[in-house]
Amino acid sequence: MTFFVKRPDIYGLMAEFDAPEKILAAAERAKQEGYHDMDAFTPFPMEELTDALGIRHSKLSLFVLCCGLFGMLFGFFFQYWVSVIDYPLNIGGRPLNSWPQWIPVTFELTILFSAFGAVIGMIFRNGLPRPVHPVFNVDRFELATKDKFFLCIEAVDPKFDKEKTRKFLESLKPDYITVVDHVHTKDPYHQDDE
Amino acid sequence: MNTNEELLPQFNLFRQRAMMVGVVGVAALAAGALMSEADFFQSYLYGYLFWMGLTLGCLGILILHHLVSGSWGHVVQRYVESGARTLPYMALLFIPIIIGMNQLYPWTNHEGLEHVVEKKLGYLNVPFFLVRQVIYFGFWSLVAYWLSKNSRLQDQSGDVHLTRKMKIFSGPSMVFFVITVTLASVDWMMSLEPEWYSTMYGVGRIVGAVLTALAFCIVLVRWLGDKKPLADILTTRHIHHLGNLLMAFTVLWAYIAFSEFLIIWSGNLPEDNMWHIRRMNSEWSVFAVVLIVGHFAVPFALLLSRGLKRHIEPLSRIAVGVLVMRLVDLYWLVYPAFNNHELHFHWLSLAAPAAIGGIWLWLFIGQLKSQPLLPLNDPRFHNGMAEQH
Repeated sequence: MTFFVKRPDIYGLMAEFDAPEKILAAAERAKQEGYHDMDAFTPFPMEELTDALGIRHSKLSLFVLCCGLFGMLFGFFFQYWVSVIDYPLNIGGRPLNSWPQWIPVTFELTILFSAFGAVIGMIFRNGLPRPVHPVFNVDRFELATKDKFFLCIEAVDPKFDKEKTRKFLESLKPDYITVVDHVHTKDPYHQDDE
Repeated sequence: MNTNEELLPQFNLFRQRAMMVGVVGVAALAAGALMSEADFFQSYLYGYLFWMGLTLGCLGILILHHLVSGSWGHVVQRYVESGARTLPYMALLFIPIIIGMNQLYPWTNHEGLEHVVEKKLGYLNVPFFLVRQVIYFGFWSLVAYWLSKNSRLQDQSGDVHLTRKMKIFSGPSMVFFVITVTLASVDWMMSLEPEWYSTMYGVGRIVGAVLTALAFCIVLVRWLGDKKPLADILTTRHIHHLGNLLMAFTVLWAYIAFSEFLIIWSGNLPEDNMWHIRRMNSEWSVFAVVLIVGHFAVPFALLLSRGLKRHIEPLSRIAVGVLVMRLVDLYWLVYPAFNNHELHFHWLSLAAPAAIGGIWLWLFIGQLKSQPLLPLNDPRFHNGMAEQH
């Protein structure tokens, strides 16, 4: 029953780097070490990080495809139902099942449902709406929008162990290692900058 | 100057084989011409239109590349340059069509024409037709040679100003390219049925031509991508871009073909609808179904997958399928003009694309091997590489 797993007492451990190559190498090492539940935060998008973090292909595209197919079928057969079954009208002697005429609307609804599926699916799969995220409890984290690169290994990872993970992060030679708490605290015990 | 010495033996071997196919094909065409002139000219036109479409697609991509300069463009730039540089030779290969004009184009015989066609004779007459061909081929060859000449100059000098010069030249060129190819498609193909017209015809043929050229480039990347010098710079992103473009043009082709059909079908006017009736209310409707499935549905569904677009092996197989479908599409566009209701197949319609294709590929490889395979001194080339960190 994964719903009732006890919440780990911290969110995770975060390492800070000062160069894109360093965080790339660090993510690669962490992946090799067997960590899955981790994330990286950088001042600019780095496409290579997706691979380095070992983020698996999202199931979102499958969901979007299903939404699109549903929209296509719905769009087509709704028009069929209206024109052929519910309210058949003789327009210039044309056949009731004038399907070429329905293709544009069918196409539009395919796109519309795919787009809705993509946006709404993305929001839910990202765990949104979420007013606040524990990584913001780290004071130096605001530098992620300036010139620092952060790698956070989350405590929910099966391989996570407070001591071992910290040792591992130290071996990556980061500038700082910080404990990420669930709530914001100024406790100096946790803010143990090296 | 030549940086692809390692590839020369392969190029020469391929060139030999292409020449062999070309010679055998030309012999077959000559034999066919003696047996049936009409079949010869029809098949020759068909074969010519396929390879001319590829040539013009190359020119279009080349102009587009100089305008937008995406990183994918540098990978294929030398392919499309070489393809476009065959244009003067394609002008020579156009001569048999001029010889066969009386048999191909009904408007060349002034008797028994419909009233509506008689009204069009101010445009559709032999002298003006010939003048237009001179303008088309002159303009296309000029653009192709000017752009590739400057790019070759830049290979040696590394002069950054040439890039800007080519970009400025490409803007107006693109406008005239679209206008001239539209008119050429009217001259070469639409006027096979001179009583009919469609304003979407030209853009449909342009998209078809660019799609042909893109698929051809992807097949070439498959062939040369694992060899130097391309292997040094080729990344998954380039292949992904090419895959996305292939998909975009597949969809665009379907969009234009369907829009044209939908407008004519819903209007259902006798002066507009005969073109589609000939092709869809007859035995030719088999082709229409094959095109919907093979030219749109299957490649579209396959290209939705990100994985297929990012790997050159599966992508090049799709591209080969697209090339085959381009041949089917052209067959369906051209032949019903001569055979209204019955499916028509003559062995010459295989021999003609093979003959012209052999000659074209021989010319193409000749152009390709005469220059470095990548525009290494193009400043945007390095930006394109840097973009990947």
